[in-house]
Amino acid sequence: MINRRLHWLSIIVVASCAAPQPSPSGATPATSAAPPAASSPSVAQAPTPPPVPTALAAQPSAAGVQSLTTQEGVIAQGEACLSCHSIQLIESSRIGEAGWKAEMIKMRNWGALVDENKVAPFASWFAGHYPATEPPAAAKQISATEAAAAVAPERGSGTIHGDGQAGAIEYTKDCASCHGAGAEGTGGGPVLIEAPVLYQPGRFSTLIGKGEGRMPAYPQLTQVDINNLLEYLRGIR
Amino acid sequence: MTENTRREFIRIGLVSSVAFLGWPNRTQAAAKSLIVRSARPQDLEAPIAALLDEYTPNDIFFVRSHFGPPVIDLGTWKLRIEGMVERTVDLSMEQLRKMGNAKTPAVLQCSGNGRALFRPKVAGAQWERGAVGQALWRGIRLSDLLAQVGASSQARFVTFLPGDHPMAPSVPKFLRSIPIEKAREDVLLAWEMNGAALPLLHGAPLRAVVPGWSGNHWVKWLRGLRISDQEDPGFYMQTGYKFPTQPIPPGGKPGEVKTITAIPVKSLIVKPQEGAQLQKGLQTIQGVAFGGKGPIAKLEISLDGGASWQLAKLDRMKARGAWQRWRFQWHAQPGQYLLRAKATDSSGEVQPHDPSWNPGGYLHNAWDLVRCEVTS
Repeated sequence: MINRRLHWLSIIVVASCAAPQPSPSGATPATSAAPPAASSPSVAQAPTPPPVPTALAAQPSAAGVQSLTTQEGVIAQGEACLSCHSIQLIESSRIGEAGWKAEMIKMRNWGALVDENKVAPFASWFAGHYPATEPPAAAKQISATEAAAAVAPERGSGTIHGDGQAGAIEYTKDCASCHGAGAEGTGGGPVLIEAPVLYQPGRFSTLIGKGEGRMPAYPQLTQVDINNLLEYLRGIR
Repeated sequence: MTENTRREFIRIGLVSSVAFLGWPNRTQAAAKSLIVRSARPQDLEAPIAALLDEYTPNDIFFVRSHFGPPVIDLGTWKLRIEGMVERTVDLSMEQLRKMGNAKTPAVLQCSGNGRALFRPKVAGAQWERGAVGQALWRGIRLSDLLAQVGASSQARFVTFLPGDHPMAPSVPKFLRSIPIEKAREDVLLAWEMNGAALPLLHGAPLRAVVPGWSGNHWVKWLRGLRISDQEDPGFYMQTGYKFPTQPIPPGGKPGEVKTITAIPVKSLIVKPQEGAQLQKGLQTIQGVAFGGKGPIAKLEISLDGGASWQLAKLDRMKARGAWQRWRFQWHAQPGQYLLRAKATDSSGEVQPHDPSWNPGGYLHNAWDLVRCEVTS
């Protein structure tokens, strides 16, 4: 059983980091540059990325390069990437093993759940699963109305009758380990401050009750508990 | 949260997507869709047909998100101006609207537009040609705002402070700085796009409009400005959004790099579209041309893949940073065609045959290419 520390992830808009960033010195591959700690005091305080679950341990191949099975790769993708990035970005990136390795290093520096010794096998899996020699599938389409609805508050979502103090206790108990003590996010769960999902009560309740992706289900939480959580989280600025 | 407040942010979220009723092709545009390059955060590319009009309709205007829209309470939202000013001020939208009101047409192009066309491929959102559009922006001139808040004469940079939150503190904030000269020249802080309230996807309640410069400067969901004597020391100014100062071979590593600012001269063929089948006879080839270093002076069309060129009819530039539409009347004869477009700006800079490959996949501006067939 994979011991996942899970979080609300799917509809919260989070880090894109979509483009690789050249190093000013040119001394290192563009995409491997770590963010300078000087950019923000909080960067220097970044939590150490939790270890990747042992179930993802890669097996050495005959060539001495560790390789992942398809199942392991899919799990790794979910653990390391999909909490922040959508699958479209990954599927359409036909950047080869070196490109993936550089991305893994960059994202690991930014808190992605990738152990240092897993960078190479992960990169190998991504390069094999999304071959540079094959074009990606045609992109999906969406209307602006649909796009806006995904990130906009729901009509009538403005008032919640919850107990913020009770919500804070519940948050600390079940949520803070992934989403951070102040809902600021960690490598294991995205920021919740001013997140659109806090104003999409139906979606929020579904995520709590059923879970999604790395976010576990908390079916024991009542609607009162959920409202308390919303009251608390909405108050964080 | 008050009822009024609630209504205000709901208005941003839902009503803002209702773009300028009465605009040309409005009904036609509503039926079209954006191409999903990333669903979360949303990177949505416009279909090329969206670029046909002078102004790109809001609901088919491309969307680029760093971390995605925060839920902003307009009832309490204020723009904080801090740093090298007489005193820190917090300005409501109502106050801002009283302090200045200007409008300008300007092209917004993602610095990564065309990234998917580079070879070898580079990482990042795989934009093809549609991460660009033009809108009529309304807001306050940054020069007016800086004067009214008493920005120091020693100030050298304005840093835009965005409202979106990185997914974790380990991820750098998206902070961009522009030189004070550019800030005073033509930059707007916009609350309106094509006659409608600025949509949430496009940065409501307030975004930067930086005419002629690449989209990485057009920060959305603004919360503040920092006036200072140095640019932001963070990742997105010191490491991100850099371009080689000297050409490098495809796949190579850059030596010296510089911050991406003005858009290099560029043109796009909007009609016909890729793979179109046209009837023999009079056809109009049309498109747009733009660049951040001055007006486009010449637009050339090739019907034979670049072997020979003819001049297209080119509109005048309406404002600094606006695009110029162009058209070419073509007596089309049956056959297969490789149409190419090449713009030259007033300084003599010409669109190159090949793009300048760079590791970020930025600023693709090679001759545009559309394949089509004319039937009898």
